[in-house]
Amino acid sequence: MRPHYLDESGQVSYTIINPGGAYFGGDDYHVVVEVEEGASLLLTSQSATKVYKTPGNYALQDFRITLGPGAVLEYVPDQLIAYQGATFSQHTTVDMDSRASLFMSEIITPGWSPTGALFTYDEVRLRTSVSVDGELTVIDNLLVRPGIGELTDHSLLFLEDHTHVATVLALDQAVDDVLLEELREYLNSLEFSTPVRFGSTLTSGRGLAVRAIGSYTEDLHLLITAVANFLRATLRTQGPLHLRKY
Amino acid sequence: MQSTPTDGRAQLVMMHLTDSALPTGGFSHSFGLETYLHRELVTSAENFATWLRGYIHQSAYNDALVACLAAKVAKQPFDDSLRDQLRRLDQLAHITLIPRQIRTANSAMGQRMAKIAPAVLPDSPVLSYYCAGVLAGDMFGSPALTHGLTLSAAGFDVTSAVRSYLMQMTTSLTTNAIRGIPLGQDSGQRILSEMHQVIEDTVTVVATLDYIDLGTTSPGLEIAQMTHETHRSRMFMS
Repeated sequence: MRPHYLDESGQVSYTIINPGGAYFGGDDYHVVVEVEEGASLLLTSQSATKVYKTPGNYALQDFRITLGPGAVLEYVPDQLIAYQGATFSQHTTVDMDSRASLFMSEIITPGWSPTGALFTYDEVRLRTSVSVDGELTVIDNLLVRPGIGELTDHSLLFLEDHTHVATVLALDQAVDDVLLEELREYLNSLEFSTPVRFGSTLTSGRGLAVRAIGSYTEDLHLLITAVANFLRATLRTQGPLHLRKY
Repeated sequence: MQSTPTDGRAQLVMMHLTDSALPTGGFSHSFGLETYLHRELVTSAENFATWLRGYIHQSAYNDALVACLAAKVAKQPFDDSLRDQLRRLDQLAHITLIPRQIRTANSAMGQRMAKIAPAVLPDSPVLSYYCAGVLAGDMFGSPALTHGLTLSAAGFDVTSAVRSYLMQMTTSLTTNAIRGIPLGQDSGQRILSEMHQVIEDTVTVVATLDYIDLGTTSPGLEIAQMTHETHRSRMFMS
């Protein structure tokens, strides 16, 4: 899809469109993104990522991201919806300069099945590996296999009584204790339509992570947008995200 | 390498490492449990057992997997390739931990274990190399990695090393729960016995996993570990 400029910052915005409308077994998508020195890119998806049944197989999405000095990448896709019997793996490899800025988010929903039952997919795996100046710095690995008791026997440590997971990973050389404290204060002032539990922390390297569990995509989207907007304002005086589809 | 060394000294190494006093510093870390105590979700032997089952389950993708991969590395000839793999595993064991307090706890306890393990098993080049690297600040340190290396180097097979690590971890968490909830000593022992089967099941799961699975998270537990950073009064450092 043709690029858009959503604000006055000069940041270019691209929307990733899945040609088939959804992922099927054996689908293997490779996306290569390179943001050069000083450039800024906002990457979104056209709509929710849907993964249909992948019998005896899986769907794979492989992201390779390179960020030059002073480059900015914000990746804010819509939620992931895995259908009954679906297996989906997303592997993201980021190679960034220490002066670059990275923001990535994901929302995983309980999926969809004809009976309305939740969590009928087989497996969703999202693994993000970030190297800074060539040094492996942080790996964020999330795997949901509804069949092995995580959402029943072990729900206390997994989703409690919620259904959705959201994650944010952001790396920027300006991330520190003070910034995290300010972010926490800001996030605590948010009002959600349904209960959301979330936590934030500093990762290894100059990074921060936010993890949330909730029951409503829009609430988690609100949280992710709030984190993105806080970082935009704090790190580079950029105005808030206005994705056109909302 | 025989699966269960009849060598008395190897047996003593395992008993030493699974003693409830180890890993030193474990006494101060609840690994997120304290948040559940604050929220009054863990208040009794019954719901602590539920929590502990979940914790052991997720450890298959985290520290128990680190112990497993370390035990495998220690079976190889001590050369440059082994040293590279060890450095990589040490790094992965650190950077896959997202909550800061857990990373700090892992390094602090890894440092202490790096002092103790070579005293328990002085004649292993791979263990000496790793522990010297940790103490010199060249590597991050990880009690699970050290545990796996030590038992493997002492002659135990990979499965025994993982089982031993899980038993030690489970004992340490239960000891903290006895103090933190609190629970009676008898309840604590009963829960430990109940966990034997959970540990055995987890040993089986760990054997099916590899580097790609390392650091897989349980979101609720991670949120508890993250929010622990902001608790005003706390008994534990994590």
